[in-house]
This record gives sequence, structure tokens and C-alpha cells, in this order.
Amino acid sequence: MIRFVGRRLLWTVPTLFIITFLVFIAIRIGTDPVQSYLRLNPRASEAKVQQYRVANGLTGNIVSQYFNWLGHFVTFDWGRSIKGSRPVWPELKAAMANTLVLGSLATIVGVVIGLGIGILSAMRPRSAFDQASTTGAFVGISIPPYVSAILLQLFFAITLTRWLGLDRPLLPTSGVYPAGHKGFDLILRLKHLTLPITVVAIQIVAVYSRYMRASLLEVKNSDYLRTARAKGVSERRVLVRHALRNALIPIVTVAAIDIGGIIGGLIITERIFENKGMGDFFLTAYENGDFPQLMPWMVFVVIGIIMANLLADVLYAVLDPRIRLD
Amino acid sequence: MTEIDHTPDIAQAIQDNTDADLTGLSLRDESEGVASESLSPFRLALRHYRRNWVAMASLGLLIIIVLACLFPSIPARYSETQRLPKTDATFINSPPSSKAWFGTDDLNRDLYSRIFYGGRVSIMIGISVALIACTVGTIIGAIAGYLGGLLDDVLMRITDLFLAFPILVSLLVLRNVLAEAPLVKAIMGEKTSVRFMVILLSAVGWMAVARIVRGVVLSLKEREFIEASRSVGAGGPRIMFRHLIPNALGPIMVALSLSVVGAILAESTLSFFGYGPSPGEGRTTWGLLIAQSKKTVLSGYWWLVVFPCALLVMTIVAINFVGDGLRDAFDPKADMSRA
Repeated sequence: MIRFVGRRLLWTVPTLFIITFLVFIAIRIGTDPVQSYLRLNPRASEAKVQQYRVANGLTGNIVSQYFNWLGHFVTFDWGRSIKGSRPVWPELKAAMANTLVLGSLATIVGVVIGLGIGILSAMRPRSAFDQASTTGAFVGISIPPYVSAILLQLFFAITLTRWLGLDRPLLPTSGVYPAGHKGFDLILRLKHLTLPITVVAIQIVAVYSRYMRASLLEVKNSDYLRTARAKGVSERRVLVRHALRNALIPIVTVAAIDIGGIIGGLIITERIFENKGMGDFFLTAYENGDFPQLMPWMVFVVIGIIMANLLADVLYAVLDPRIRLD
Repeated sequence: MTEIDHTPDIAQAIQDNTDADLTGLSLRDESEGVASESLSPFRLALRHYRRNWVAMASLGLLIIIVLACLFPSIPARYSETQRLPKTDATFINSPPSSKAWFGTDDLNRDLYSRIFYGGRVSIMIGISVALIACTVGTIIGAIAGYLGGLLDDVLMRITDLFLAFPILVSLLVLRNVLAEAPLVKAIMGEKTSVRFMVILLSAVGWMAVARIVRGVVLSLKEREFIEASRSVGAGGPRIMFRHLIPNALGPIMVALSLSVVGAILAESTLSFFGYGPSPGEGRTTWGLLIAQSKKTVLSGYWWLVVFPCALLVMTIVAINFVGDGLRDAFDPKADMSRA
């Protein structure tokens, strides 16, 4: 196991190398960093532009520019954003922290509810609950995150406030904290997180309840469950120890592949609810053509995706002893 | 002599026997209510599909929506850009009334009519992207699966890369690349044109189709009927187009429905963030309608939010149900696991 993980971690180095190179080329073709600099700083002097060029390694041909960038990146010399000339790392770090909070809470809530619904509907297929949840999941998959976000905003900011005759919305519909707030406040933070979590979790619940249902139904008809029952194992133990454990195996792999989808949902959700996270960071950087901000963002997303895949492989082996990682 | 005499008898006997068997078989099939006269998988699938009332109802709804949007002047009550005359109470952003069923927007245009005009652009993008992506994806997927080797590896790594990234990020990055890359600039047109959007979405959309078709081809290409056709001298292209692709038609049709959904959603997502197509002065798409409603949501103009969202979601749900019905129809085994 440790050898497997070690080898996979070693492999991530060349993978990262290739992917960042491709992403670098794509971003360089798409947005000319010097032009974006001039657009945002129209009165910059020639010397200033030259200084910006050198600071970001934008000299020589595109391949050597990549290696310049790589050199700066690995030595943690990440430069400053084009807009406002702010250092990249502190903002990226803050954005990452916000996204990790939102993303992991939403994933936990979504996976727990989704798996629960999936298990309940697989235990009684074709029951009223099963049909309602299957239809619900279908509708849930079909609702794009910005639609559910905007509808929730409307409902909480306007409709509910009017119905209940409140003078302020029950749940805040934007921001991480109210304007001007300083410091940490758990209740306030959770209140601001409720709606974004709901939006992201709706997608996860819809997807995972379907996966879980299908996977558990497949396992339910297997011979080893009949054997377990014949041995006199209690129904509860059959479900937990035998059925669920096996039904979870395919889901774990799907989970890793889905991480791109979750990140995508997060980007949209963060923008609508003004939750200053990675998604918002990316969209702002993209708008400004802010090359020094875009590349580190990409690297972190790629690392996240690779790590999720690795985690899935390891979990796969933990859950299914037949799979050997060599 | 005797042997020669017997030959026709034996032949006749065999003939009779087969006839009897065949009729017996078909009779038995009919009595069991299984497909009797046709063995074509396509007709079997059609029969399966017709029995699925959810899928049939969704198909009906979908046909109505698509027809209404492709010929928007029939359901619409006003033209796309027409501003309604002022009334005493409100002159812009008026709530639903008998004059404007879904209310009006900030230029006092009838939302009900604009939804159909906007739908025309969105649905046309969805259909054209799905057709392009499925054609390209099918051909590339079939070639990669059939030939294998280095080509297959390279293609699959590229699709892996794109599919791992969030689709929104891939689209935004590729959007800039296609707009700036020197050679493709001429065919792509303006960044905000509908054509640009169609090409951009197709450029990402073919990959999912290619993976599906590749998977089917991989499982089919070692089967006996392919081997048989190869042994009588059929070449690669013939095997691919006459045998492999027709047999993958079920999954391809499911992929087609998913591509339409993906394209409509991608268009509206990009529009939502301001990177979508702008079909012309005063004209709109579903994505643009929802994007504009975002600005006014906190002013309480609920009709601007609810109606475009409802129609978009209704369309997506209907297509998804049709796709699900197709999947069941082409793969009866999947139906059993659903039970």
C-alpha cells in the first residue's frame, strides 16, 4: 500500500509537469499577459512594463517562458496580480480556505443525505418513497446550480421575508460575513453558508442517491448475501457489513471523477452568493486576464484532482480486499 | 439409384422440418407477447420506449417546447423587441397580467413572448452542438476503439484531461484560445457570435461521446460477427460503418440526448457569467434572460426569475427523461437492475 501510494505520488510530478505546460500554453495563447497589463494599467510607463515582463518571466520564446514561470513558481516567487498589483499567495490562500470550508461541508451534507436516500429507496424498490426520490433526483440533476441559487435567493430574500413580515431576511443571501464584520463568529458564518451549501448539496444528493440505489440493488441480489442470511447473520448486520460495504465500492470511484463537477458547482455558487473562494478568484482573474493569478489557481486545481483520484484508488483497495495495489 | 432417389426426399424433409420449426417458433413468440415479427433491435427499442409512459409524456412535452421555440411567432403575442404601451400603474417591470402573461422586463417587453424567441437560440445551439459533437465523437471514438494503440492512448489522455477539469473552466480557457489562435480565428467568427458558441461547445462536447462509443466498440470488436466479416475480407472502414457504429446506435442516441442537455446548460451558464453569445440587439437566449433576472432578483421582480428558469428546467428534465427512456429501451438489462 505504502509503496503504491509512494509510486503514485512520484508519478504526479511528471503528470503535473505536462498538464501545467499544456495549461500554460493554453492560457498564454488565450490571454496576452502584456496586453492585459496594459488594459488594466493604461498609463504604465515602458520601464514599468519591462519590469512586469521580467518579474513574470515573460521573455524569450514560449517554452523558455514556461520554464521561467516554473522556476518562479517552485521558488515561491509568485509575483503580484496585474490588477492592483497585490501579492497572489495571501489572496489565493484565503480563497482556498473559504472554498475548502464550503466544499467539504457541502460534500459531507450531500453525500450523507444522498447515500441515505439511496439506501432507503433500494431497500423498498418501487415503493412510494422510492418513486418520489427517483423523480426528485432526476429533477435535481436537471436543475443547474445557478438556477437553484437564484431561486433560493429570491425565496429567502424576498418571498419568505414578505410572508413572515420580517424586517430582514431569515438567511443572508450573499457574502461570507455581513459588511464591516470582523473576526470569527460561528453562528453568523454558518448562516451565510446555509444557502451556498444547499445549492451545492442538491447536485450531490441527486447524483449520489441514484448511484447508491443502483449499486445497492445490484448487490442485494448477490449470492453472498443469501449465504450470509443462511448462516443466520442478522438482517441489520447483513445490510451494514455485507451489502453496504460492497455497494460503496463503485461509488468511491465515481466520487473521485465527480470532483471536477463539484468544483464547477462551487465556482457558480460562490459567484452568486459572493462567497470569496477559489471560484470567485478564478472568475475575477479570468475577467482581468490576470495571468499571475490564473496559473497558481490552475496548479492547485490540478493537484486537487490528482489527489482525489489517488484517494479513490486507495479507498478502493481498503474497501475491497480483492483489489491489490501493485 | 436408390440413393439418388432419396435425395430430394431428404431435402424436402429438411425443408418441411425447418418450415415447421420456424412457424412454431414464431407462433410461440407471439403467444408470449415477445417481439415476433421483427428482430431489428431498433424496432424492439421503439416498442420498449412506447410502453414507458414517463418517457412518452416527456417526449410529447419536449416536442411542444421545441416546436414552440423553433417557430416562436406562433405562440408569441408580441414581437421580440416590442415594448408594451405604458399603463397607469407601472410602465416597466410590470407583474404578470392579462396583457403580459409572464410580466414585462425593464424595457417593458413581454416576457412570455421573449421566452420563446430566446428558446429558439438556445435550442438551436443545443441541437446543432449535439449533432456535431455526436458525429465527430462517434467517428473518433470508433476509430480509437477499433485501431487502439498510440492513437487511442493519446485521445483518451486528452479526454481524461478535459473531463477531469470543471467544464466551466475548460470552456472559459478554450474560449480564449479559440478566439486568439491565429489559424482558427477565420472560421470561429466573433467571440460573441452564435457560431463561435456552437463550435466552442462542440469542441468540448465530442469527448464524452467519443468515450462512450469507444467503450462500445472495444466490447464489440472481438465478437464473432466482426470476426466473420473480417474473414470474408471486409476492411476497417466497412466494419466500422456497417457493423460497429450501427450496433452502438443505442448508446449514441443516449449520448445525443445528454449532449443536447449539456450544450443548453453550458450556453446558459456561460451567458449567466457574461461570456455567452449575444444574438443581436434586443434579442435574447434563455441564459441571457436568467442572467438579466439575476440583477433584479433582490428588487423582488420574481416573474423575471421564475418563468425563464421554469422553462429551462422543464426542457432539461424532459430531455433527461427521454434519454433515460432511450437507455432503458436499448438496454433491457438496465431495466431489470432498476426494478
